[in-house]
Amino acid sequence: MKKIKWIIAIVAIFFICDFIVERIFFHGVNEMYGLRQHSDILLVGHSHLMLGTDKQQMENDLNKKISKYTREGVNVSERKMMIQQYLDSGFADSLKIVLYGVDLCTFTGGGLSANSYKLFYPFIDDEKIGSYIRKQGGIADYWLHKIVRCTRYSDDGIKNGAARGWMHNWSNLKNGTIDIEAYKQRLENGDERHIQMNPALISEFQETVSILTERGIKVVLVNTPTLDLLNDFEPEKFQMMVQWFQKFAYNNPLVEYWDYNPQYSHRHELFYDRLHLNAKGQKVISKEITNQLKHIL
Amino acid sequence: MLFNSLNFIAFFFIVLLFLVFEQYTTKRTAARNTLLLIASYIFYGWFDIGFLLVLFYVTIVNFVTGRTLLKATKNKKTILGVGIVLSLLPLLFYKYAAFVTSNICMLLGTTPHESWFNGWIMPIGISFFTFQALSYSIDIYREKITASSSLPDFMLFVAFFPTVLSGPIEKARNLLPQIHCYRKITIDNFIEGAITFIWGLFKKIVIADRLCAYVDWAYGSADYLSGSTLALAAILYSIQIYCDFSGYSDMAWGVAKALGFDVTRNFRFPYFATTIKEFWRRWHISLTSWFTEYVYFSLGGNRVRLKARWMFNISMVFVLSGIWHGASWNFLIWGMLHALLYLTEYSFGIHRKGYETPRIMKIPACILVFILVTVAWIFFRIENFDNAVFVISKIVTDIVSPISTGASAFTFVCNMLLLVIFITFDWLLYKNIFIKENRFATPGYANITWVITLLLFIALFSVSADNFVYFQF
Repeated sequence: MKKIKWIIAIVAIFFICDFIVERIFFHGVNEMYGLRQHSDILLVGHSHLMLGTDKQQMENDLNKKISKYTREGVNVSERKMMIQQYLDSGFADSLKIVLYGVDLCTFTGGGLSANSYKLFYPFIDDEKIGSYIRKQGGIADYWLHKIVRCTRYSDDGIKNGAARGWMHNWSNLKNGTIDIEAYKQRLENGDERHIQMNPALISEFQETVSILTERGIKVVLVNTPTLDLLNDFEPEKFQMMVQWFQKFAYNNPLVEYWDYNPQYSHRHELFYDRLHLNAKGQKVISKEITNQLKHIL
Repeated sequence: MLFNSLNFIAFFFIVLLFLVFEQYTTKRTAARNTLLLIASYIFYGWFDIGFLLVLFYVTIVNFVTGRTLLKATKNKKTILGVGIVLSLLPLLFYKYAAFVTSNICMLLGTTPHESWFNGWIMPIGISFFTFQALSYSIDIYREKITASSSLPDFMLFVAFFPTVLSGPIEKARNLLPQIHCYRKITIDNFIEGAITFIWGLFKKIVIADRLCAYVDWAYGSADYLSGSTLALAAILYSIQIYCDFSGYSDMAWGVAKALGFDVTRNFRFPYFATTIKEFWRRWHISLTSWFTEYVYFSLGGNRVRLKARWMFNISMVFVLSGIWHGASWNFLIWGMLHALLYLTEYSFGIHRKGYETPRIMKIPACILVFILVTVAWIFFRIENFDNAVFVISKIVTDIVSPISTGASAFTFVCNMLLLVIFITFDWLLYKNIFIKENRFATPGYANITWVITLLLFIALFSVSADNFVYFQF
């Protein structure tokens, strides 16, 4: 009997420790993404917008609360789920504007992480996210992460989510600058993604915008700059994308499209790589966004 | 079904449930063994149902050889020889045919046709269960055991699911008697097995699989990396392969123990060895013991008149051990290197009776053995000889240089911290301080703390890999 008690004690203590550690991490993650605060502005996108906007600088300049819910590699469907998550959180009552990150590959199916559903493990207890994970990862994967809570956090989840959330550190740590010659070589080899207009992704995107505009929330489609060499890889397709967003914004009174490519895509010193801005680029673009936001707030 | 998968955990508890039910109802050895045999065939067939044919073939060949040897009064050597050759046929075909053919073709100046070996997937663990089955036939020939009269029992001996994939290679005289008698499932065995399993799981998915990413990256970009980075990768590979294989062996031991069986401990802290000879007494013990008993002794062991003959016997064991790992020149070189190290050590008088490494020399000797073994692992890990030599030359000429952390500095720091924690745990186990391997089943604060810490580390820092290094052998 003593041995059975011993096993029960181990299992019980483990689950208590597991719960405590996960709660600590979960608090950090919520702090990082601002999911437990009544915000005026919500930023949603993948790493392109993540590295392109400085939440703290924008909050200070605007004197408004901002939630920056951006995650590496999330596709259009996942962004819809992220917006829904915030809207359902009970903290969205003050939300006025959503800055939605778009770029030349927004409607291109591939290229983003195939396992991006794993980024949502910390929110597995949310009904919609839970069912999404179960669909993507399977029953075993779902129950493992549901029961053993610490498994919801990868190295990246601990560092870029929980730890930075606790430290209130939203800074862009990418200080390097793109190697233009190496990138030109890559382009010469034809090693670049092709722009596509996937109808399913367009439909998801339109639904996402509708969810927001139906609630009277303004949607700003922000195209933070991408390198001019990348934009010129398929110039017609790139222009087609830009025009599509412009037309979409024109047809929706609550939607605006802000494109920073014409002014900044040739400023190579602002880029960490072809898609992402470095810390210096982030400062410049955040300032631009803040100035435009002041006009509509 | 891998030990580190949820499928296996579910499978194991279902098997355990059936066995416990059986224990409280029929309590018959035959019923228990039938359950275990069905479970073992399901477990092995899970990978590929076709693999079961090879497993069954090897089983039948050795069972018939055993029965024939028992009845035979003469020509026993021929019967055993035929049994061995027939047993080795699948292994030779799956593992060595492509290698031998391509080398013969190279000598003849032709190239083998691509389609010759296409679609032939080597059954996992074929080297392990073939050797395990052979030990039975050879032991009967040597009259160390008598032939099993029960085919299901013998089938279970060869297919026993905790050991079928990657050993330990059990000798018939150890495992068969355990199968013949009724093994009760007890709470003590379960606790001891579970804790050993958790320790093995930690080594596999927290240490080995994390280091694997760094090692693969470093050896994959050797041209661009500094000598110090490659040196670190070599050290980490030594730890990776140890944690991978000993982790698997611990899990196998734990599963067997929970079912009431005692199988061989395959590792005894090999990196704490102070001589190469001692290293081989601690590394992959069941394979070393198999080669010693069935190859080295068969060649005459050390009871030969000429020193050169003894040196040949030793070299053969190491060379065969290398080839056993795979049909590739790098494994052969790895085996020859170890033979060379062993014989060099012998020439220094380190193997003489009563020799013990002086106390003051223990740590330097331990480090030296680790370095030598690590250099040999480079040939084991890198298939191409020129690439291996390139890595070693870069390490030697560029050792004082900055170390690259790989894709993520945070992950690198995590890995290093986890490594320190692992080495501390391993050292505590080695020294029997605080956590005592032989007292796992004893309730106590030390054991509780240790197990919970391991479980939390597994939950937090494990990475998923769907293979074990030794499955390819």
